[in-house]
Amino acid sequence: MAKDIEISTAEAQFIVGALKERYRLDGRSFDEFREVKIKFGNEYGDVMVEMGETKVHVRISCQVTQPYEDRPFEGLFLISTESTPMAGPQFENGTNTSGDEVLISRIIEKAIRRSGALDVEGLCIVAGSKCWAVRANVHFLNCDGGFIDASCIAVIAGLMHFKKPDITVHGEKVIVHPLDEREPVPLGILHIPICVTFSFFNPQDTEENIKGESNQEIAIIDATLKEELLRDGVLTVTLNKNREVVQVSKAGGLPMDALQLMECCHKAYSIIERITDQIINQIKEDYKEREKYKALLSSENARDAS
Amino acid sequence: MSRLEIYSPEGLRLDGRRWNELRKFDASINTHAHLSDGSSYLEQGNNKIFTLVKGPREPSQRSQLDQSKATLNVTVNITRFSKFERSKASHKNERRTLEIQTSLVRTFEKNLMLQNYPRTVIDIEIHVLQQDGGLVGSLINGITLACIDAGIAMYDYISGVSVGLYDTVPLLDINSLEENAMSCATLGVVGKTEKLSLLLVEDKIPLDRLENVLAIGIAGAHRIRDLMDQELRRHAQKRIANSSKK
Amino acid sequence: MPLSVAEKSYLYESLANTPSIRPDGRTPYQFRPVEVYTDFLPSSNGSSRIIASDGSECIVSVKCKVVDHTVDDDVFEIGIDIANERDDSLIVESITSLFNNVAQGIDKENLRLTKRYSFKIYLDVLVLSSFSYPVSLISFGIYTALNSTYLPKLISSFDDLEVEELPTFHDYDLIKLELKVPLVFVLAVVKDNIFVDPASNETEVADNGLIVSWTNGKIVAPIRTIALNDTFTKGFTPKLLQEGIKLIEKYANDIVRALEAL
Repeated sequence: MAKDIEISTAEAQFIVGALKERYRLDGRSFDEFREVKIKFGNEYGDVMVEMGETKVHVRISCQVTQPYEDRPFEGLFLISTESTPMAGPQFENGTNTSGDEVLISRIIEKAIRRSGALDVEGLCIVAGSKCWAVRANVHFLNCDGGFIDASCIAVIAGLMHFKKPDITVHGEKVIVHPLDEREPVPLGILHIPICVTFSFFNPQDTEENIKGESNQEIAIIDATLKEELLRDGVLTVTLNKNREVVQVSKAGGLPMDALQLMECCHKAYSIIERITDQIINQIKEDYKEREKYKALLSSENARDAS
Repeated sequence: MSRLEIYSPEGLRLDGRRWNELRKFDASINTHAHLSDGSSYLEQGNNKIFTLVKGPREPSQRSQLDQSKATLNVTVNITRFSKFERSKASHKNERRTLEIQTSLVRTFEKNLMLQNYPRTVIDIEIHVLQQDGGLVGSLINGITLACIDAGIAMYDYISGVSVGLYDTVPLLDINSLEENAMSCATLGVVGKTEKLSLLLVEDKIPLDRLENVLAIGIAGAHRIRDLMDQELRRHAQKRIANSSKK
Repeated sequence: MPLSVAEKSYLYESLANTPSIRPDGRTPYQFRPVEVYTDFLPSSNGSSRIIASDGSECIVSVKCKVVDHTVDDDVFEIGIDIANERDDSLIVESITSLFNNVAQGIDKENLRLTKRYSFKIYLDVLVLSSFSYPVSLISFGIYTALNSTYLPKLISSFDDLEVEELPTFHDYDLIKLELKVPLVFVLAVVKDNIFVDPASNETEVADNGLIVSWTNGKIVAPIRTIALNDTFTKGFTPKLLQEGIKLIEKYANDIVRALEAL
């Protein structure tokens, strides 16, 4: 197992002490999500998401393959989340079986794949024999907390941005048209799930947390790496704009009052609303930028309109 | 296949329960006294689970040694015959199993007084002989009982239960047919408080209904806590009676 | 708990004595008591849980499926899982191969449903704990589990080659499965003596071990030797092999009667 990052006692006490005084190291308030920077690459489905120092790169790709026998009408959708030491010394090559890494990949999987964000039936080409396999490769480039949130935004933005080559079907024969031959087609996105992670700290002792009535536990949104290392509990909420809870994961950790957890969900909603709009707008702008010369090159003219 | 009526207009579920009723809950502790320090056998509906707690004991590897507290390990063995259809592959290294194990470790790490047993390891071994929905909740109950039997200091009981949401009706303690038909939440509730140690929602639930689901889940978990408490007291009384005979 | 050199030497001497003295006072042909529960898993077609007096415990589940035996001829599958052992560990693999060998000797005619379809039996064994070599225990578990297995009653015709149809079953009538698996016994050899059902302390000092299978009044394959410990293993005279076989031939009937009395 790779060595965990250790944090000195003095620094730990300082960070937790500051939290008790309602200060965070980077000057944010408890309920403030870091600014999300989304950048699209040259190709469709190439997305880089930055949140503070956290950097995640996602590349969507697709190929024609055979569907599963028991699901002949559905395409394949895979999310691969492999962390490498590039993201930080706490990650190791190849072995992604430590607790944190399993939870990260399972939550992203549940948030996007199991919730049916991608219309897999739309990926079917010839029932039972040919379909598209869409693959999202998530690369963690730098870790400063909030991996789940950042990669979820990156994957869903990538899927929305991605376009697959157009096809023509003649019976069993399928022609895949290269991108320069025919305008590619976007994927069917059914809803946009966004994850928001809360980190919990216990300012008192354990007895007060379990038996007490005071509910003094601190909940902060979008923790940085240092805060993540020190936290007592974590809650990841995934919501979409239709006010649906897609996934909630509080896998143990500090026991929290149910009402406080509900409050977290409501707080998360206002954040995901904002991020959803940001993704949609940025994709629109990116497409506009790409199609800048379209009007110029178009052979369409006023006569066609009549 | 005919469509099953998950929740009839008369308010009855597939197995004849009403929305707020638990399944049959049958627990016993100290079932494997010879091979573990604490053990429990739990039947929650058709879930049948053995839990063995071994420890606190000396770790076999030095890397497991922690100077300040005990190291907690949980292994969940979901047998291949546990579901109605036998599974082709072993569940041992599945991601889902790993996720359950990690979640259980994190749930009980905060509830067992591990700081009382430094430089030791506590191994929890679970064998799922049969599963019928709401597995994680049942695993939590099994561990709570086995840890109490092992005499490991805990802050409070943790009781687990699953709640499904069928349209607008929350259904308590769902079985596998219900689990496949609707979205559900699993709760791990600490004692008689309203505090949740574990909360897992795996499918879409409208945000405004979530509170309702949690409320019925907490009530159900409190009832399970009482049932576990009853069994422990019954067992303790039997032991006292046996020891005073000698 | 590991035994000291002095304890081992004492045990060995007393077992090698004529007449031999076993640490728990048993005679050479006496088995330890077992507790057996059957049919406790409703989602399996048959099941048993067997607990030996030393706390060794084994759970067996029988599940069945209808298969087309013209495609898949293998209608009997055994999976063995030992708690705290990896699936590819030596002990799991050797026991699995032993029982696959045992399974070859089963008459599978009773699993035949129609000319085309058969029941396929999946036997899953979970050994929760074992203090001595668990083969006997597993074998008793398998025997009792199959003995408690009831399968749906066929109501469609046996001959389905002319009329293409899937077998259909009675809604609730079940038929008891008649399938006899060989019983497997472990014997321990100490000097010139041979013992059935060795306890863990006896296996520690045994010169060698013998695995003998028996079904329907006669000894069948596999018969094997097995090293019961890493330190004491020695050879033994062929006379003991015959003696061991005789011992099993003499007492196996009583065991079967006990297991069937459930």
